[in-house]
Amino acid sequence: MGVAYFIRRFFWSLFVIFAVALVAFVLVRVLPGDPIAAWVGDHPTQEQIDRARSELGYDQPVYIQAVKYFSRLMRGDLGVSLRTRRPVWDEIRRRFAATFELTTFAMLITLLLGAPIGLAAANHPGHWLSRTEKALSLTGVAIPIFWLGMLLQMYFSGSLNWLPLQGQRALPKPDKIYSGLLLLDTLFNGEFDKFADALQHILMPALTLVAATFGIITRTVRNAAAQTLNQDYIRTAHAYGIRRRTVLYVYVLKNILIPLITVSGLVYGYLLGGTFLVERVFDWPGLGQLAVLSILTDDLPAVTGVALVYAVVYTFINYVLDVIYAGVDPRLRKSA
Amino acid sequence: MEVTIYPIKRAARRYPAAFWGSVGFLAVLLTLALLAAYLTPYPADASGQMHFEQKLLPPSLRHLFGTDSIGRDIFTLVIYGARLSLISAFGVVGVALLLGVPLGLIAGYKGGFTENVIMRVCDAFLAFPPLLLPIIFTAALGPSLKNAIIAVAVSWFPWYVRILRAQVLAVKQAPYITASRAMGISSLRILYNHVLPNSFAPVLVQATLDMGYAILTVAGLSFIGFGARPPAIEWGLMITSSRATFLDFWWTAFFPGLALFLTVFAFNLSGEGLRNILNTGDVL
Repeated sequence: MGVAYFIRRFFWSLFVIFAVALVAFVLVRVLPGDPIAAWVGDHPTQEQIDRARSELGYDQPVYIQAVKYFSRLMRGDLGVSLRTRRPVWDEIRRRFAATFELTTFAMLITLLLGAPIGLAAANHPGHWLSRTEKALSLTGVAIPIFWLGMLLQMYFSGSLNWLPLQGQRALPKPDKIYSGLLLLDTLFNGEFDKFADALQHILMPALTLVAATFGIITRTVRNAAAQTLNQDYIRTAHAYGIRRRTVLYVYVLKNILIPLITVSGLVYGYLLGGTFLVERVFDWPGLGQLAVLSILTDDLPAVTGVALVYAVVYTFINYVLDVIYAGVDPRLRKSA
Repeated sequence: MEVTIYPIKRAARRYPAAFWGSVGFLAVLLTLALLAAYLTPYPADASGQMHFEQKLLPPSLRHLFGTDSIGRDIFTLVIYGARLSLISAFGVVGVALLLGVPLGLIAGYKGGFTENVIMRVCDAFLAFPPLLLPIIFTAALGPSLKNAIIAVAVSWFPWYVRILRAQVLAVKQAPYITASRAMGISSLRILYNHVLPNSFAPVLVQATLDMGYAILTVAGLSFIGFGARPPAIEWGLMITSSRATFLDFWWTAFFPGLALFLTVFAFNLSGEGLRNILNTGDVL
């Protein structure tokens, strides 16, 4: 039963990615911009235009273009960027690492801060911590993320001059690159000055993302924990004289995992979406910036590529979360 | 599912200051936006007048929120900016409801193959990371506020389909629906007269909560250049154009953002209050 569910779920994910690829293909063909103009530059002759058309395959019927596009995708070839004239994949890989580093860093902070605070708020309803949590979560979801980023810049770079205004690093690249993630690579190399530099750069954009998602996590944990604390078996556990802390961390924590995992998936998606804005504010060299740049320069292959990468990551995360659910809650394995 | 409407008084007691405060704030904002020409100190600034001799003045009694890099009164601009933000809120939610309500009704009521097709299409829409779909759509349609509104609405309507379908599935079982069917009343009339009114409350709550997010999303699109374009006066756009000045002249970015934040906050609190009045619980 369980295996069949995972397989079906896997094929659904594949279908979603295919659908996204199709939508990206269609949408990109109705983009108002002219990809030929982006390729040939200013003042082209008719001959140059014709040659560019056939080089890029735009002289062929749309269905042939579609077949070629999908067969190239199968081989992992995203085409050549019209802007840089280099394989789209090269640039995406580099920028994906930057976006992945930022979102994952933010996600880890959000979970490490949010889950305990939510749990504590549920455990002590009238406490100041609980009230602060409530205020923070209401504020977090209403604050414009790009504005918050700019406020942080004003304070930490402008007034205090503690943190760099924007960018991913001020020092040169790490000597050896293993993962493409700046924080990890510099640490592995033992280049602590570069590590500190990278950490200083990532702090503000990550904090901006954390502020926007923190409330979603604490609220989920608080609601789920409050519900669980009201259950009979918790009262029984207390009656047996089991230590409060044990009850909280063993019985309650186990029962808030499902909602926490669900919401983490949503939050990660939100972070990916948020990077469009935050990368712009902090000039972070990630995928979101590439998406905006590619759209503005009519770089069709790059737009398609970025959209696909986003969709694959998002779908993959949702798939992994579903697998984790089934691991955490045996009931889901059965019913599916 | 039965929807109980609690007396407004009780809602007032439960959310005394927050709910009424936020509704009041929105009412004031709406009035200011509608009567901007009469209630702002420098209405001419909103239609492109520049005063370079008064550029980047700090907040004072003459200019409550200071002036921007071409000498326009920021207070006046913020009030005028409320217009486009309110339009985006109602526009996004309105278009999304227009698409989502009929599809949700049909999916829930018809069931079978139709339901499957509609729901799978919705799943596909929801598989996109948030904001990516609006960005691709606005890129395809060309950047403008109208297109941004349509793009956000198109990427959101599946949520309403989901909520409404779940409600309809429950309402459909009620004896009065069976009775209406037995009397030979047409499906369309049953849907409109019985199913819709009895399943709409959670959608209404979600729609109110979404107004705030709609404003945020459209402002975000404007911020990265895929929404409102100059010379339109829009909060997201004002924040973008302040990026050259905000480090030295904080008020150029601060006040448009504050207006944006407070408006979204007010919509969220109103939605929460409405949820308590209509007693729908968490819809998602």
